Amino acid sequence: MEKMPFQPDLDPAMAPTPSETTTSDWRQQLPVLAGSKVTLRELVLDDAPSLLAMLTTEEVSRFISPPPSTVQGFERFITWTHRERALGRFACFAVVPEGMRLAIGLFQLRSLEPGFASAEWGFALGSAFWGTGIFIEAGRIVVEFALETIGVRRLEARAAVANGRGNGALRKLGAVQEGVLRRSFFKGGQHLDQVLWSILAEDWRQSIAASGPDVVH
Amino acid sequence: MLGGGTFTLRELRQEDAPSLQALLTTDEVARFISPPPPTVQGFERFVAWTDRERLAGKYLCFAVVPAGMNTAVGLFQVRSLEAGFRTAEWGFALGSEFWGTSVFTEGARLVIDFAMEVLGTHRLEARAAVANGRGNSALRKIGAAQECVLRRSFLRDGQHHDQVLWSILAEDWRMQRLAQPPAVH
Repeated sequence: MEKMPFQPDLDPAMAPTPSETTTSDWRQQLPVLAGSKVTLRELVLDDAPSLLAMLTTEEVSRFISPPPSTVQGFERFITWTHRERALGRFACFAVVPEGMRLAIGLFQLRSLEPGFASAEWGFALGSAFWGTGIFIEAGRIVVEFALETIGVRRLEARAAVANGRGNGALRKLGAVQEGVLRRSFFKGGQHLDQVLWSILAEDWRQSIAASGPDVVH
Repeated sequence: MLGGGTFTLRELRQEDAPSLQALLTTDEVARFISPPPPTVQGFERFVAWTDRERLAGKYLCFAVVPAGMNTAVGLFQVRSLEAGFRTAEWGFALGSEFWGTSVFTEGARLVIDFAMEVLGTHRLEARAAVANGRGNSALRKIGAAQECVLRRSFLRDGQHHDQVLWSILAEDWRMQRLAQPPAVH
C-alpha cells in the first residue's frame, strides 16, 4: 500500500529524479548487446514471423500469457514495444543466436514504479533453443543492462509454480525466491500460483565481483 | 456510496483536499506511505487524477467520511494490476485520530466486498513496510495472508525498505464472511 495512495508522477515537483547512472539513450533506441552465443537487439518488424513460429507452440506458451496468434498480431506487439520504450517504461530485447538474423525469443523489462527503480522482467525462447546456454548468457546480459544502464535496484520475476524449467533458469541466474503468490496468474481458465523471484542490484554486483568478469562483456 | 455504521465511503471531491492535506501529511500518517502532496492544490490535483483513472477503468478511490462530517478523513484505493481488476492492489490512509476505531475495519470490509463482488477481483494484494507494525496488524486482522517479504521494494527518503506482501483471495473472503455475522449495513 505504500506506493499508494499517492502517485508521485502526478506532480512534476515530486517525480523522482533519475539516478545518475541512468542514461537516456536506451529510450531512443536499445543498444545491441553481444555475447559469445547470442546477440540482443531491438525488435524489428521482420522478427514477427519468426516469433510467431517460435513462441506460439504449446510447450513455449504453456506458462506465459497468450502470445499473439498471427504475424500481424506480433507486428502490432513489436510496434507497441517501441512506443513503450520511447515512453521510458518498458524495454524488449530480441534474442538472436550467433549466425542467425531473426529473433527466436525475447526478454522484456517493465517498470513497476516511476523511474524504473523496481522492475519486472520476463522471457520466452523458442524451445529448440532450450538447454543451449543461450538463456543463461542472454539473461545475464539483460540483468546487467537493467541494473547498470537503466538503474533498476530491484528486478522481479514471476513464474508459475508448475513451470519447473522457468524457475530453474531463474535460480541458476542467481535470483532469490521470495514467496509464492497464490492464484496470481490466470491461464486457460485456471488460476495458477506463481513463484516471486527477485535480484537486487547490490547482490548482483557482489556475485559478479566474486565470479569474475567473464560472464558478460 | 457505501454506508458503514459510523461513516460513509463515497467518491472523493475537490472539497476534501484541505481536510486530506491536514490529516494525511502528519509524520505518523505519512511515515510509511509515498510522500503525500504537500499542499491543498496538490491534493486537488490528486482528486482530479483519481477521477480520470476511475473513468479509464483502472483505479478507484473512496473517501472515508465519518458520520456527522462532510469531508474526508482518509481514503481507500483499489488499483487494477491486470486488465479488468481480476488481480488488484489496495491501500489506505486514515487520519491518526481515527486509528484504533472501527472505521478502518468496517471501511476495509466494505472496500474488499466491493472489489470482490462488484469489480470481480479474484486476488487482492496489499503491501506494507515490514517496519509498519500497525499496517501489518490491520491487514492480518482483516484476514489477509502474508505471502512473502519483498526485499528492498519500497523507496522512502532515500532508503530502500522491505515490504510484506499480503493477499486476500475471493474464495477465502466469501468463506470468512459466511462464518461472520455482517459487520456493516
